[in-house]
Amino acid sequence: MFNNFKISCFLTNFILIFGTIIIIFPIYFCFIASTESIQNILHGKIGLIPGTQLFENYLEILNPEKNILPGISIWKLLLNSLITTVLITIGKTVISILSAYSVVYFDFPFKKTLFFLIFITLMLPIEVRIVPTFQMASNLNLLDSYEGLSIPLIASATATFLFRQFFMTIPDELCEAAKIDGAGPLHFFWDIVFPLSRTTIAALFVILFIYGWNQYLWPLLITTKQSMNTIIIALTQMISPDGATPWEKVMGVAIIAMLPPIFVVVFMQKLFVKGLIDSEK
Amino acid sequence: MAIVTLKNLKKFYNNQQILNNINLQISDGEFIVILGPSGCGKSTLLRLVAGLEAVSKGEIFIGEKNVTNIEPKDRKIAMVFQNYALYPHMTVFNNIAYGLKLQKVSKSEIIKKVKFASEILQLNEFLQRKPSQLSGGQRQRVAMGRAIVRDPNVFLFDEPLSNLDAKLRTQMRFEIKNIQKKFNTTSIYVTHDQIEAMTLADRIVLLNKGNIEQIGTPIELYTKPASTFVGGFIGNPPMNFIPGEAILSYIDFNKCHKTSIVGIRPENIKISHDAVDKKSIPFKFEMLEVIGHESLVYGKIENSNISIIVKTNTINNVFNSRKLYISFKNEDIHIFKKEDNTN
Amino acid sequence: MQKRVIFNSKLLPYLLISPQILISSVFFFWPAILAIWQSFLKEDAFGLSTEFIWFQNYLDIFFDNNYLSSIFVTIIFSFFVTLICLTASLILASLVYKVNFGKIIYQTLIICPYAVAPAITGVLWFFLFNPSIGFVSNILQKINILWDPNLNENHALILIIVAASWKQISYNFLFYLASLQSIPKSLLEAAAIDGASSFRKFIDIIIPIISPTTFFLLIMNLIYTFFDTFGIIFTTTQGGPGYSTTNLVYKVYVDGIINLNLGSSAAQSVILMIFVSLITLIHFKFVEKKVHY
Repeated sequence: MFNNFKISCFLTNFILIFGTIIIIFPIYFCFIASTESIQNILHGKIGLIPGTQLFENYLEILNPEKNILPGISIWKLLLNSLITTVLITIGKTVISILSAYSVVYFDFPFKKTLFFLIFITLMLPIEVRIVPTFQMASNLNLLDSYEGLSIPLIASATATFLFRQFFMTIPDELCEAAKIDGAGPLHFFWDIVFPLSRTTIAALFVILFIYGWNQYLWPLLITTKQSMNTIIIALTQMISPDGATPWEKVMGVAIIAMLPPIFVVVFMQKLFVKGLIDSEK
Repeated sequence: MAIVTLKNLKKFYNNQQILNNINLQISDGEFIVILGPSGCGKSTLLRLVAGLEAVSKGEIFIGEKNVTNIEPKDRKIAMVFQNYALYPHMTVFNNIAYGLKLQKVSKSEIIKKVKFASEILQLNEFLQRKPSQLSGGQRQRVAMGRAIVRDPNVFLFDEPLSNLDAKLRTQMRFEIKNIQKKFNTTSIYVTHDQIEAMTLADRIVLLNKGNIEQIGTPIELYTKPASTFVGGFIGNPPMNFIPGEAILSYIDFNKCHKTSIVGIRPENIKISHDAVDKKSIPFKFEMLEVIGHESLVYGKIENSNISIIVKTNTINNVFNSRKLYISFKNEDIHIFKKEDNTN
Repeated sequence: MQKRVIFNSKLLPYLLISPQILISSVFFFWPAILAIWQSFLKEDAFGLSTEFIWFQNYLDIFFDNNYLSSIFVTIIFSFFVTLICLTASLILASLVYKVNFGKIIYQTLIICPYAVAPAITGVLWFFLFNPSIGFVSNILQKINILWDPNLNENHALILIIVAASWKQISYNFLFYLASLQSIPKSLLEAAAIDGASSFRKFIDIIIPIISPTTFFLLIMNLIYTFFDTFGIIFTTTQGGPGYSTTNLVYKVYVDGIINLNLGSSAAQSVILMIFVSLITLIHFKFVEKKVHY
């Protein structure tokens, strides 16, 4: 029986290590490729250990003087991505927390109807309404703007549901004590509900950051100018169909583009996992 | 520092009547306890006085002012909740100060008031801690501190000791009474625990299914219960109820008829091995519980299904047979009309 | 859904909920209505005139081979991705649940793909499987498999299936792990006393108890393969060769933006909307009424 235990332990770890390696491999390999020279890549000569061009490649990419795409440096791309992501994250959090508060702590005519309207936005992911939404946005002159990149993406319902669920767990007595203390709805929100929502907001932050940073279809449509590109879009544009792709740079840019979301997920892992699980209950 | 008057209060909720015709006048500085079993409407009544719920019919006056339609914060009341309702993310100091901050009291004045309350409640060393770092009793004191600084006309207590263990409950009971006496503020205290009611109240309001059964001092409720409900609720173990016709032949009491219900408290029953006189009722012994100095004897009146509990001194009584006799004095008998039996 | 304690303000709740309603109206409801309207129209090549043609667009779609093939592609794609994700993530989650040491390290590494953008995922796998310079392609050539997703439709499908599964495993893994961790230990102990082996415990107790999670993930994976895989398809195969890796959503994009057939694209969008609504309704009906033990 003891041997069985040892074997199963060994097997468990072996399969886990094997599985984890497969999962990490694409990212690892991407890093390897970013440290090689283009010739090695084109001749299929890259192995499993980093190459020798680490500094050269990255210095070339990160150099603000040199543009990885015609007309734009990587720093502007990162900036665009960052601004868009921050706008989406903050925008979505703010409107959702306000809506959830109104639905939980007030009673008003048409409340059920309005809540239902919010609910059905869950059934309309952007890919489903992409063409008319784009027409709408361009009619409103939102092309090539940070507003255009962010506002159409901030109204979906998952965050609202998450906050609503959290608010339902706040004890009624807390509200009553606050009322007796003299707090009206706005004071109650700002002094009590909002501070208590900190962990929920932090968990949501991870999910929204990744959602915003990794957007592809919508930014693709709404931007026409090179200067408004996000780093994700720019990365795909570096791959030219006729074979002149600077792979070593593409891989380097990919690594740089991957880093912020990975950092956020890894360092806020605990909150992130909690938020993800709770949001789907 | 105010008289509280409740006039013809009624409360409905979804077509169900929660409170019916509540009339009560509370004097300045009085400690009133609203007592009753779960679901009798006592918490609802308190919340009506607080303004946390609206009355369906009737009026509430605090002092001269008709507060029936006024917001809680303008009624000059303070409330201590069963679950303390402390703001978990604020320090003890800020919890107590929150109401004052909203009233835009000056910072120095706030510090003065909070320190004053903290001194009385011995919270000085906890002022910078958060509620999660405090024990149950400490949290309850913070809740009281929050009430004290409001300098209210009426203190409202909603079963504040229910969440504490027995020993702590006794201690906190004492502190609450002391504080109330010190500030001499009119207080309304809700509980289902009759011991709290008996020890704290100047007067008790006993509620049953939304109706007032009796209002009186603790002793009045104990010695002169107005109905079988009151008789059965006050006193531990509860009063025994015997149909009149079962013991008419034994007791010589002209107020007792065949249709009456006779109430007699366990502590007022004498138990003996022999029939002392014709007043002794044959009693079949079933079980004995020894609680130290006292014992509880459980049994039935011979040849009947009527259960009786007797409280007696352990030392003086040893029961070595099953055939016993019980007797009691006329002055300890309570007579109730049969219609009163609404348990 | 109502708390007992509320505030009495009349105007404030409307103000609080209005930003969300406003943005939803402008960017959700109005475009959805436009899509429905457009699906009944036919525009000429220059966009100069529009003709109301009732359900003609819908009929045309159902007789369009490319549309039917995209339904087929969608089904195959969703089926395999879901299958791979559910099994692989359940295995990994069970092992991480069981392992004695290194849980955090495994979890940290396994959730990384979640953070990678679909578009980048596509680029990475495109690079790995590139017929001329891909690492995996080279290995495949050495064992005499002529790998070419640019020409071979099956290879293209395999490529997007692998890429999409890789990315979604993290999500499935996290939910399965949480589900496993919430199983009361006492149930497993009772089973052990009853004489169940590890294998039996897994089949008879664990799998039924986590079935709500499985059902939930089934729906989420479906939604994922429909809607969140655009970036992957775009950067690996562009829906090709031909239409062999074009799923329903990709086709909406192709017809609407590239082919400029707005009526058809709108009709397809409407069909998808109906489909998503059904799925969401099922989700809420069944997940809210959880299968409880």
